[in-house]
Amino acid sequence: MNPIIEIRNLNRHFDSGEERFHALKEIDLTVERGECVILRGISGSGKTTLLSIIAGLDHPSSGEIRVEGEAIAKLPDRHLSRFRGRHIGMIFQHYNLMEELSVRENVAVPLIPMAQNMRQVTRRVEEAMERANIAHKADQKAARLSGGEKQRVAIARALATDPEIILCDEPTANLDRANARRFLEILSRLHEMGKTILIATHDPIFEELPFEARVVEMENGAIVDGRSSEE
Amino acid sequence: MTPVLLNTQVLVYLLSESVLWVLLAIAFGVSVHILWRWDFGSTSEEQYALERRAYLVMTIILAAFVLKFLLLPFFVFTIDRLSDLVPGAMCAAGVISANGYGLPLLFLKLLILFGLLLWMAINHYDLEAKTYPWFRLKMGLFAFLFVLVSIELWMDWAYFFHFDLSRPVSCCSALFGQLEGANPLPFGLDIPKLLLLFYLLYLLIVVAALAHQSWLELAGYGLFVFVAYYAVVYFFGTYVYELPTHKCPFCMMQRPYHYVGYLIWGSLFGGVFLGLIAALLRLGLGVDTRRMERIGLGLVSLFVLVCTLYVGVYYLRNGVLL
Repeated sequence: MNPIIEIRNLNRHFDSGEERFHALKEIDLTVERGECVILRGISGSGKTTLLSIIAGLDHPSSGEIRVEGEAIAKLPDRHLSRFRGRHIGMIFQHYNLMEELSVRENVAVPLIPMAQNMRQVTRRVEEAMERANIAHKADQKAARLSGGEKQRVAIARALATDPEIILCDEPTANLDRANARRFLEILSRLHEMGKTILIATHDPIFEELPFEARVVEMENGAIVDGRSSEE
Repeated sequence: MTPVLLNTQVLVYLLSESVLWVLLAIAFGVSVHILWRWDFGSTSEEQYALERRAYLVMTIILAAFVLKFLLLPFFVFTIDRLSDLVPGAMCAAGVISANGYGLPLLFLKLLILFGLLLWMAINHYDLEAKTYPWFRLKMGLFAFLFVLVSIELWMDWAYFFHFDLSRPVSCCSALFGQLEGANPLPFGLDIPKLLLLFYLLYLLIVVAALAHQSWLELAGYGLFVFVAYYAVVYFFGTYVYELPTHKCPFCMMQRPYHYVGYLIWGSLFGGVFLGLIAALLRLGLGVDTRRMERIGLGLVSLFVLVCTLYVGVYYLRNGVLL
């Protein structure tokens, strides 16, 4: 057993006046290195909040979370940014690309704070674009791409820093079936590369994943069931 | 009420210091609560809230300290401007001795400046270390500094409030050498010995810093700041003014001398304080302070260079020394 993510008694709530909304309740989750976990549940079930906390984009209200052995909830902001840059690649539902930049420039963005030389940046960007099948559009502006192509740019950007963990938040929500299947193929390659993948989704297409994944059902901020996708 | 309190610079200075004190007082209150409940090992809701609040408080303290850091030269600038109002004063030297609060206040400000830099350095290493290992130390230091800052604010108001503009001050009688015969230098030193000691101590600091000998650095910087003060006032300063009888630490901060006093005193105190702090933290906390050590040494070297240049340029231009 080689856990890469360990979560114990994790809670996240939001206060609004005297009311308290519990977005996550007593979450216990362990993810092994190289494992693929699908967080499944309806909107508002807490999937995105959980992914945000794993990515270090949000803080838990209480409880423990360790990613790569690091207690990320206690890291000061400057360390958290470095941690994210090194270990986490994130693919968002709405891609979050910079529309005025080219594909190549979008993919290079996460490499800027890593202070690498231009040759290293170019090599990493080329590799990431190849892996995500978007190298042929390298010089095109993101604004001119289709939804599927934007998704692949987002994947390339997530891969540019060669992170161990890929987090995908509703990655197929804005894709047609054909593009969604292409996304599954890319995920399959990432899985073969040994990446740990967490996907928050309610899209049934992930039942067609060509490799074994663990499905974790979420409801009202709590984990209600965890099983293998092949069960 | 003394008319000094209606001076624009004095008003800006006192209000700025007062506002910063209020900010620091709030930070102090929150800090005490945080210290009381702090348990870094806990993953409870309260501890996470304390950690976020601590980060916010650190940012407020840091911002307030940076502003206080800038207010020291502004204080000197302000009292220099008051020399137009105080009878007998030609620069800040006369104004600072216009009442009994001035000089102790200036020394307190220098002590606080050292404390601010020390706090900033500990805060930097604490945040770098991920687990806040020196959180209690820096909060304790902040509490001590807050007491000093409170005394400083009281003395600021008392100093400006107790100006008697009907009583002339006599700064220049001492500064222009009317005490001839009495050696003003410590330990019976004369100028050649003072200069020899000045450059030897600088050499000692350079060697100690390059060899990372913390105790030697502490001793070197501690003695150097003392010797350097006398060297500037009684030797290098006369080359700034190009007048052998003008021995004032403040006039060089005026426009006719291109405000070079700010560079001279700033690089001296900045360099010495950083050098001392680098050595102290290496000894006390075991952290790598080489970068701070280099900056301190760089500032002190700049100070020595500027002082020496004034003498060198004067000699090249006139062919004689003063």
